[in-house]
Amino acid sequence: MSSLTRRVFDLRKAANFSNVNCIQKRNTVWPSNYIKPLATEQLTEVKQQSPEEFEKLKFVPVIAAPNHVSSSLFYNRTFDQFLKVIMRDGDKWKAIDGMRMALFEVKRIQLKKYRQAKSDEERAAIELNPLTVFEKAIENCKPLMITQKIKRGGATYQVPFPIVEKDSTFLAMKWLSDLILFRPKPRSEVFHIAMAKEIVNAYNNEGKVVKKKIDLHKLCEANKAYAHYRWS
Amino acid sequence: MRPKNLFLCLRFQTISSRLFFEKRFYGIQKSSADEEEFDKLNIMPRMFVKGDREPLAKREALRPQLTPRYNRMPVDQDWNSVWPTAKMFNPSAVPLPVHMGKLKTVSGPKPPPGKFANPELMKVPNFLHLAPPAIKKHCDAIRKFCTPWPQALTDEMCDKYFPLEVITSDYCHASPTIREPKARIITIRIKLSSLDLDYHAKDKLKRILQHRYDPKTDLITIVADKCPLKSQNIDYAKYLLTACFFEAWKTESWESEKEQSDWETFFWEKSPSKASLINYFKKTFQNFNEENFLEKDTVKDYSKSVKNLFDKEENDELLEDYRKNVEKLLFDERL
Amino acid sequence: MKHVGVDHIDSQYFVLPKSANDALFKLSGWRQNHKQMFEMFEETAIMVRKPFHDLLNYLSRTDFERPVNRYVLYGEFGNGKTFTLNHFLYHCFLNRFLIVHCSSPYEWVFTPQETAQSEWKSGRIDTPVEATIALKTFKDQNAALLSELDLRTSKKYTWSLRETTEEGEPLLNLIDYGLNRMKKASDCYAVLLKEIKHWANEGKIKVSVIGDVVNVLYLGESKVLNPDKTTAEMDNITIARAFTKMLRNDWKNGLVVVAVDSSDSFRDKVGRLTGERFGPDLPKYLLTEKGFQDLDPFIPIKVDKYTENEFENCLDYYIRKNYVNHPAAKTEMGRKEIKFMSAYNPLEVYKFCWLL
Repeated sequence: MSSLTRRVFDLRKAANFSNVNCIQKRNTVWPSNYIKPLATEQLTEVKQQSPEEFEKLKFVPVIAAPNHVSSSLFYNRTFDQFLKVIMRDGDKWKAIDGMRMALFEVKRIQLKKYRQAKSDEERAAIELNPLTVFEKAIENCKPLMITQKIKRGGATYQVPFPIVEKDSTFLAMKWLSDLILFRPKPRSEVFHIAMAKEIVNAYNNEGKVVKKKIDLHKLCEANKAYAHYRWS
Repeated sequence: MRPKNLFLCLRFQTISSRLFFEKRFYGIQKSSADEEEFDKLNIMPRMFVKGDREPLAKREALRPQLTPRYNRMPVDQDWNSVWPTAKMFNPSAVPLPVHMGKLKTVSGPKPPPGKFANPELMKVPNFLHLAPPAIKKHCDAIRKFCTPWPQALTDEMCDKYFPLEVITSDYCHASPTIREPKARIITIRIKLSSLDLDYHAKDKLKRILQHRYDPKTDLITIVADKCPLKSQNIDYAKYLLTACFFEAWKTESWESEKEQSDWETFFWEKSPSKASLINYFKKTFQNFNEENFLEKDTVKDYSKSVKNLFDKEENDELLEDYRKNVEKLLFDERL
Repeated sequence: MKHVGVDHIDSQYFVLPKSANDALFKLSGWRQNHKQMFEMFEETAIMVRKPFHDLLNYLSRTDFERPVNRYVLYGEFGNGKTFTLNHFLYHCFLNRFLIVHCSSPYEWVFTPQETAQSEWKSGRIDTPVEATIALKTFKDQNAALLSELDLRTSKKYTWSLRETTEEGEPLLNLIDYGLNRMKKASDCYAVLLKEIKHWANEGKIKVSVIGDVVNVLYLGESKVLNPDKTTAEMDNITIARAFTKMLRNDWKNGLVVVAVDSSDSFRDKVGRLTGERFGPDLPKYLLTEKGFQDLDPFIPIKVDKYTENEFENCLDYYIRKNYVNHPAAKTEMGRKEIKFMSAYNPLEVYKFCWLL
C-alpha cells in the first residue's frame, strides 16, 4: 500500500465512513441484471401488493443469498457474528451448542437475581432476555480507539488511531472469545459457565474484557502526543 | 476448434457447383430484351474487368439468407424419408436440441456442447432411422411373410404351460472376433407358485434359494455364467433348479431343532406368549379349561396381534391393536 | 377402587407440593436438567396429560386379585415419559401404595461406582453404592406407610456367622441393616423386594413398581466386569436381577408401570429428529425378544408429543414464569416458529426457548 492510499484509507477511517458505501465494488461476480434475493415473507408481500410485479420476478435471475442471513424472528446478528469468531476447526455445531448453553446460563443467573430482588423497581431493571444481555455486553466491550505501532527515528510508538464500528465489534468479540477459550489450565469451570459469567460481568460494565478496553483507552489518552505520527 | 473448421470446409464444397462457378467466374448473361441475339461471352475473367461488379459487402448483403434446414422442416413431415437408413449424425437434418460430450476448461466444467460440429455425436451410432413410425412401416412391409399368433394361446396359458423363461443375449459388433464373453451369461426365471410344493418344501426352497427368490413378485431367478458356452449354462441352471426342488422335498433330522429365531413366521401356538397367557389365567381362575379358553374370540384376536407384531414392522397402529386386545383379556375376560 | 386426588384438569399444569417432592424424589427421579428447570420456576410443575389419565383409568378398573398388570410407556425421546411416571408415582403415594421405584437402572448396569463379588452366590456381582441409594430411596418414599403397616420379615436371613435377621423382625430393621452395612446392601435390597412380593401376595399391602428406561435391563450384557475381565450378564447383577423379578406377573395386589426409551445420551440432534440412526422408539424393538417375553401381555401406552392446546399452555406457562422474554415469542408468528422448530416435542420446546 503506497503512503498516499494509506492516508486516504486512514482519512476514511477517521471520518467513520462505512467501507461498503464509499468503495466501489468492481469485481462483483453477478451481472447487473441480477436482483437481490428476497425472503419468503417479502415475496408474499409483493404477491399481495402487485401480482404483476410478482409474475415478473419469476423469470429474473437472482443473486445467491448470503449464508448468514435468516428470516427467523429470533435471528440475532450479533450472536451470529460471535459464533463465527468463536468457532474452531470449522465445528459450527460445537460453537452453537456451547453458546446456546452459555446464554441459557446467563438467563439462569439473571432469573436468580430477579427472584432475589426485593422491590418492583429492582425487578424491572433486570434484563431477562439473554440475547439483549449479550448484545449489551458486546456493546460495553467495544473500544472507541486503538493504538498501532509506528516506527519513527528508530523508536516504535504506540500511536492512537480511530476505529470503525465493524473493527471495534470484531475486537470486542475476539477479546471475549479468546479470554474464555484460552483460560488458564487447570480449568475450574466448563466453557458455558465461564462464558456466561463473563457475559454478565461485561453487561454490568465489569470484568476482564471491559478492563482491557478501559486500559486501551487510557493508553490512547496517554499517547495523545504521538497522534501526529499518523500522517507525518 | 479443429473439427469446426473441417466441417465448414466440407460444407463449402457441397455448396459450390459447376454452374455457380461459371457464373461467378465468367459472368455468362442472358439479356431478356433482345432474345435473338447471341449471348455475350466475356472471355476476360470477371475478376479483371473493372466496374462490372458490385462490391463484396453489397453482394454478401444481397445474397438470400436461408434459415437453417432443421428450422424449415414442417412438423408433420415424413421423417422416414428424411432419415431412411442408419447414417452419421447430421446436425442440419435433426430438428432437436441435442447435447453430448464433456468440456473441461481451466475455469471448471462447462455444459455439454450442442449438436453443431460435435464429434461425440458423429462417433456414436444413432438410432434416428428407428423412430416408431419407421418401425411400423417395416412391420407393415414384412407382415405378409408372418402367420397369425394362435388365438387359444393367451398369456395365462403361456404362464401355465411354459412357466420357465430363459433369457439369453446375443452381441454383434465390428471387431476381428465374433465371440463375445458376455453372451454365455443366461438367466432362468420361474414362478414359485407354478412348482408343485407342499408347505414345508416351499419354505425350505425359499431358504435354499435365499436372495434368488423375490417374495414381492414370487419369482425365482437363477443366473448362470460358470460354463464357457450358452447352452451349457442353460443346462447348468436347469440342473440347479431341479436339484433345489428335490432337496426341498427332503426333511432332515435336524429340522426338528428349529428355534424361534429360525421360524419363517411367528407361531403363537408354540410361543412363550401363549404359555405366559395360560399361566396368567390359571392363576386367576380355579376352574380353568385350556381348550375352551383357546377357542375364544378374544384370545384369537390377541394371538393375531402378537403375530402381527413379530411378523410385520412394528408401528403405532399394531401396538394400538395389541393394546385393545390385551385390555380385553386383562380387564374384562371372564370364564 | 376410589382414588384420592383426581381433580387434575387436562393439559393444565399441576404443582407437586414441595414436601412431597422432597420425600419422593430426593435421591432419584428427576434428572439434572429437570432439577435445573424446577429451580428456575421455583416449583415442581407437571403437565397433566393423556397417558396419566389412561393410567388412572386402568387403575380404577384393576382387579387386584388377579396377577399384576404391566403398563409400558413408550414414545420419542423428550416426550415426557419420566414426567408421567413421576406424576403417577405421586398419585400412588397419595393412595397408600408401597412404592418400588427405579429411576436410573442404567447406573446399576452400566456405570456403577463400585463393584464387588457377591458372598451369597459366586458369579453374582454386587453394586453397593447403587444398592444403598435404592434402599434409601425406598425408605424415604415409604417412611410413613412402613411405620404404619408394621411389616415384618417372613423368614430368617443369615448374613454371616454372627449377623442374622430373625423371622418376625420389622422390615425397617432390615433396611437399616443394609444401609449400615454397605457390603450387604445389594442382598438386602433383593431380600426386601422378595419380602414385599410375599406380603403383597398375602394381601397385606398394595405395591406399585415403577421403573424408568427398563429396557436396558434386557440388553443381555452389562458393562460391569467380572473378576476374569469378561463382561457380566445382566442377570448376574444382584439388584438388577431382583428388580427384573418384580416386573413379572407371578404375584398379585400390585401394578407395574415402566417406561422404555432408547436413552442414548450420545444421540445427536439430527439423528434424534429424523430417527434414522437409532431405530424406532417402540416397545417391542426396545425391550428385545427377552424383555417382550418377560412382560407380555402388557399394555402399551403411548406418550405423544404436545397437542396444540398443550403447546399453547406450555408456552403461556413459560412466559408467565419469565422463562421466555423475547418480544417476538409473544406474537402469533413467533409461536408458529417455535412450533415448527420444536416439532411439538416438549424437550425441544424447552431447549428452543433457552435463548428467548
